[in-house]
Amino acid sequence: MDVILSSFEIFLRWDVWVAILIGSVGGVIIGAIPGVGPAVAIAILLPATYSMDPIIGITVLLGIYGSAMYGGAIPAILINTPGTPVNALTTYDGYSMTKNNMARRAITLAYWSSFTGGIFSIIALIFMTSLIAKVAPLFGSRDILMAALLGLILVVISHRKQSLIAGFLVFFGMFISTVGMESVKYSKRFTYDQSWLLSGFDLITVLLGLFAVSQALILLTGNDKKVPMPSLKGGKHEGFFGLIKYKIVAAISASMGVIMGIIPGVGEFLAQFFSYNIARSISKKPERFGKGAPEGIIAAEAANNAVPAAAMIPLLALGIPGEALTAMMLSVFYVHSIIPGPDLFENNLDFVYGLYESLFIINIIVMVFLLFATKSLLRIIQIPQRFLGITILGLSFVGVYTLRNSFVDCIMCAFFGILGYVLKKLDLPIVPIILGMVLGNIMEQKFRASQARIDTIFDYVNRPISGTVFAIIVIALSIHFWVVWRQYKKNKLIH
Amino acid sequence: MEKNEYQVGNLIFVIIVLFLVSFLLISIPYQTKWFDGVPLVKQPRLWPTFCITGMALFSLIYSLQIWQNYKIKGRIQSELKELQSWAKPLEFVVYFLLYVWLVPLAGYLLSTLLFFFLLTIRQGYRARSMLLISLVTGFGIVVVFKSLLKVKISSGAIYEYLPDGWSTFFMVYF
Repeated sequence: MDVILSSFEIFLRWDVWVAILIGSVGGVIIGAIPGVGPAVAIAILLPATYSMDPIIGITVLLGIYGSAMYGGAIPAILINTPGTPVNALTTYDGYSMTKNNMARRAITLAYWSSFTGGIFSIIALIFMTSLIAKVAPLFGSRDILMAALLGLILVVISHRKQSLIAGFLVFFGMFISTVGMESVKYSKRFTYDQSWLLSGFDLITVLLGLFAVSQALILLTGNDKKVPMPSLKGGKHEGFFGLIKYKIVAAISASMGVIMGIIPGVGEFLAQFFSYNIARSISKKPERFGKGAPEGIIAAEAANNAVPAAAMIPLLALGIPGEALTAMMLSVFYVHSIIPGPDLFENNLDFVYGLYESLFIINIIVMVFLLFATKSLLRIIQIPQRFLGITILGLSFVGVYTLRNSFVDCIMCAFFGILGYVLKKLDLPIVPIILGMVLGNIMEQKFRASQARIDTIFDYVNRPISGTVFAIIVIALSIHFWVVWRQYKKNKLIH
Repeated sequence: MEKNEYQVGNLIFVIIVLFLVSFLLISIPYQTKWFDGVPLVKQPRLWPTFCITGMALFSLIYSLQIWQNYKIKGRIQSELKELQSWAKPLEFVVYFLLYVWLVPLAGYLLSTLLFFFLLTIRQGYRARSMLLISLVTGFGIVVVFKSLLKVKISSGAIYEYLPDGWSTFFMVYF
């Protein structure tokens, strides 16, 4: 209890409140602009927070992380274009409701569902923290190695129909993290005698290239789309009453978001997929799904907003990010000298609680802001896409140049920008590269650290935690191969 | 094996990937060191070799899948056209790098205003309001990041030619 009380002390500072306000409102605006998204914003703003007080820098970025998906629902519902990729499922029922002159109802339903998901997951987190604080210190090198491996495997197999290329990209990301001077024997790896490769590829440079520059290039080479904006008629609280009507769907979806958020490598998409299917299966009118079912919006939004807070569990407890945004948050922590892992829960529990409380306040501010400012936000959606591309490119410069004022970093960033552009054009995933880079590095370190206790290969899995994680890996892989085999046989029958 | 909808450009992509993987595989003995007497698990060569082997395995199976799908739906002309479209953003990458090169010379403010203004014209916007918005956006970014947040961006060489008081002011804030 003392820890919880002392964690509230950060809220006595006015600058923390300003950071929360800027982060949460900024996150909603960024989320509402199709083509920007939280990944681009965090990648750009991360270097700008270097000079800030750690808690301020982290709070701003946490605000963007926790609120962008709220804003992303607005264009998804009104113009059938998701503001962030995770709002794609919201378009199914949200846009159908807009076409049926129920735009206001759909939007407020999305807000209240997101709010429910967000608050539910934070409360779940606060209750689980004491358990996590007991379990996290039990994780040794081998356990973290296995957990990182599980994360990578889940990233690969969760890219359904793209798992081969996702596998390649994961290994590519892992390879990138090995380039440069290695830290044990101090030998060069894949530097090709180039001095600028000695320090390897900086994660922020790669992130900015793959997310921000590539998105700028996509927008700059595309066309501006003019979309008519539907009118918003109706009360602010329509969605609230809708949510009360479907409270079971909201509870199931939020729980699904929490569960999926905790598992590294899974994230929002699978949480939404499961929640949506469950909501459809328990609905009295399943035929309405995809044609304007309120439960569809609730399932998608409650699930995706429950994930960010839950995804902080493996990140804070083990230092293992589950998706691109948490990988970015990991670099945010590192930059501000906060090392996530079992020690954090032992020595800085008030900091952990402070983060949860910040997320809680962010959700409340966002909800109030959205209820009163939606009409003003509609103008932001209409910013010309190509002009947005110019702005993102200009902002990317700030992100990458401020790292070391290096021209080489900018060339690297541009290279990864082109790679990201090609991957996006081919509809191939980018996230596996980032997770490969982050988790690959963790795996190499833990692999080396665990050698002192390894005699045979079975020693990796003879601890209770590593053994359990290994069993989950085996089960996940077995299910994946079974599904692929079944699909293969089905295709063979058709052909 | 997984079946995938064939996306034009995939064949070119896997060819590039296979070249990259082959190059990296050949480079392993030259670009990593092997220390005699050191156990395998502590060799600096082990981890990159593991990663490149993984890349090779996945890319090989993926290219087989792509080749199968290409044989059914692919056309070489469409592939080359797609390759051409990948070159389209290079123009903007050149502008970006020119901008980076210009900042230490002309200063962050002037370079950013030029970058935003010229790129807005290049994108075909001619309305005065749009050009003004682009300049205001550029100026706003400089003020937020350099003047207020004090991010580390080298000051322009051009500022040294300004009178003393102005020179310091521009070096610190713009």
